[in-house]
Amino acid sequence: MRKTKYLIIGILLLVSIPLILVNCQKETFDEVPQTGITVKKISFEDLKQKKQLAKKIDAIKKAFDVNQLEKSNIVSNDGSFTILTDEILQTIMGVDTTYTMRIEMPTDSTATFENFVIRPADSTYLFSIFRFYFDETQDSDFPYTLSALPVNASLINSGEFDNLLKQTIWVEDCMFDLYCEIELLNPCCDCLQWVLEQVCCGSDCDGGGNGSVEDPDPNEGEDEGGESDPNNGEGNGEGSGSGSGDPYSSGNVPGGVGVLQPIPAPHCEELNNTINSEGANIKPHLENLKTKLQEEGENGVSLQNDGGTYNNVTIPPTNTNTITPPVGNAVYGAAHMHPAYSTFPMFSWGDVYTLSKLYQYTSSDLKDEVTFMLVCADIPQPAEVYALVIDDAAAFFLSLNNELQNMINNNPSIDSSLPIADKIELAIGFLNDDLGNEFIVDADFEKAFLNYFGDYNISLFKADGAISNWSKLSLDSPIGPVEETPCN
Amino acid sequence: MKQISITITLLLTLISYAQNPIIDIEEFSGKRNAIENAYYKDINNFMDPYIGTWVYTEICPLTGNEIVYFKIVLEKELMTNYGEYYVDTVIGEYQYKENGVELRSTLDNTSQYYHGIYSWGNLLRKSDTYPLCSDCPTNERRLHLIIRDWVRKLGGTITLKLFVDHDGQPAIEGFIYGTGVLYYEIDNPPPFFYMIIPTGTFIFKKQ
Repeated sequence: MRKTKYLIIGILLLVSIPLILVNCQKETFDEVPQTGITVKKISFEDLKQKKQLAKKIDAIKKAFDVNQLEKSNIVSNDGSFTILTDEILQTIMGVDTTYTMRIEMPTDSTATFENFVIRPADSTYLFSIFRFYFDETQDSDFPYTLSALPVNASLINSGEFDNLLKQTIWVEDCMFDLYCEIELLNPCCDCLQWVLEQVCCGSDCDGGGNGSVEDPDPNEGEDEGGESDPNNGEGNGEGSGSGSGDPYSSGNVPGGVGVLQPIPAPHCEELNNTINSEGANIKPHLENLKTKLQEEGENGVSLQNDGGTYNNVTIPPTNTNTITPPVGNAVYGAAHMHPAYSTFPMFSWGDVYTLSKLYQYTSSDLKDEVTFMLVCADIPQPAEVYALVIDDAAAFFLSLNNELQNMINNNPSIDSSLPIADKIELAIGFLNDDLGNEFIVDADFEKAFLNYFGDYNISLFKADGAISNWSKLSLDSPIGPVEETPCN
Repeated sequence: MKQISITITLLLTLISYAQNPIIDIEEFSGKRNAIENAYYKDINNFMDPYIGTWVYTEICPLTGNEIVYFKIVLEKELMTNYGEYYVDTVIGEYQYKENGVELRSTLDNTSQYYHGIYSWGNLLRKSDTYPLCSDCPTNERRLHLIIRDWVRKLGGTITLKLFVDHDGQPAIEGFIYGTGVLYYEIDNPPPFFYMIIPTGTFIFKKQ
């Protein structure tokens, strides 16, 4: 009888296992309910009625010509721009409400138009200027590229506002990381999509979006004597925040007209130009890098084109597995090598990030040529020359930032209160090791790389042994094999 | 009664295992491939011999003065939560001095965010993993860690390899390299490209 009792208890417990397991599973749910976007026009008087905004509006008033307030315009003290307040768009999305105003004349003469945006963040409001550049290469519903000028709220006071445009910076990674900063504050929203929804919110809405960066630096004051802070988010950014998508055509396709078809970027032509003696002629430099593989440090060359003249500039070699290529208007690429015994014979995550910077900073007429090359050797295999190129810049940047954001959000080692630039720098270090963990498991580095970056909208090319032709590397399936499609 | 206890213990073990399946950390292949709620554990305790305080010193042969003093303190952290999975990690702090002057130290750090030394994912390295090590025993593992200069806001990696020195004492060969600035604006270079701790090889002795 006692055995039967135990048996029954045992059976009951066994039956309950699945229930226990199911009930103990980690539940996932949206922290913020998804709601639609509501857009309506409000007056400046309506705006001033917002209690939480009152102080900020007062702060703005100190910084502007008060007399102009009654004329439905806000003019900065230095006269550099005027905010039109006769039409303010209030955008409600979820729990967040933003306010968008047009700027009368763009502060950047090359911008098509600009908006001044007020966005809530925690218990305060942040200000920014969004610039919209018409991009005729984008045959889409929204033919503009964007950049954002974050306006630190603390700068909006009468004493410092005169120099606002000089003091505020194009935050590093302005366009895209700024969006992710937004998303960090608004976890319910998809980063870029959210901003574009703000912009394309309706037929009567001709612009909008928001974003700002306020960087409390918990390390402020910790710097030791004689050393300035190189990465202080307020100290050094000069980079442009522009970015653009690749062109799309509405070509005819069987079964329909007007379906958007991506045009393959002419990477072969551009890459062949790099090794052509009548073009950039970097082949001698690549050959030279092959001879450096046994060295402890890295070597490299910066690929530049100033006014149509190609110039290959040697980057000072290092004694470590890092080399720092310059980026700038005339810089369209770089080539570097990985020491054979200390570094994986493939691009690192940081290398892919560097590719994005080469693209971001180069002039618009050189963006199609942007490439980052790598000379390396999987000992005892012979040296290889690889080239990374961007297929779709907007999608590439979005993928990069999604990955960075995911790392930042889920890594308990990253202090969420750090400035975004610091968080990105930390995240890249972790992502380098994360990619390394995949390389450890799959020593077919080309395959592992293509798998990891398969949806990044970048392409990996490999030169032949004589560096006279390029082949595109691709995967039909995650398990390979890697297929090579020669350019010629 | 004994049978009930055994049954319940068995069930609790099963439940616990089902919630956090334990996987050898060497099978960790990046966060994208990580199994939700899995515990990537150092099941072979490869990390344990590295735990403790280690010191590298460089003495001027002429004067006997200490030129470089470099101390690292390592500890093992079990089951660090990475949101969707757990990993055994090694964290640590360091102190770096040249000619008696402390140039950098994280020894006083108490924050989880500002360790001088930390790791990501699988930090164990076999001999055929970069950086390559032709003389590393197959039954031992090196540790691949991140070392950070929080003042310059730059990081690098430090790969640790255990060995026994000529005095028969445990020692660590530490190889510090990368990662510096990934890019710089051509007209606006940063003041620092690398950490204040130089790259290279350091032989640390157990304290």
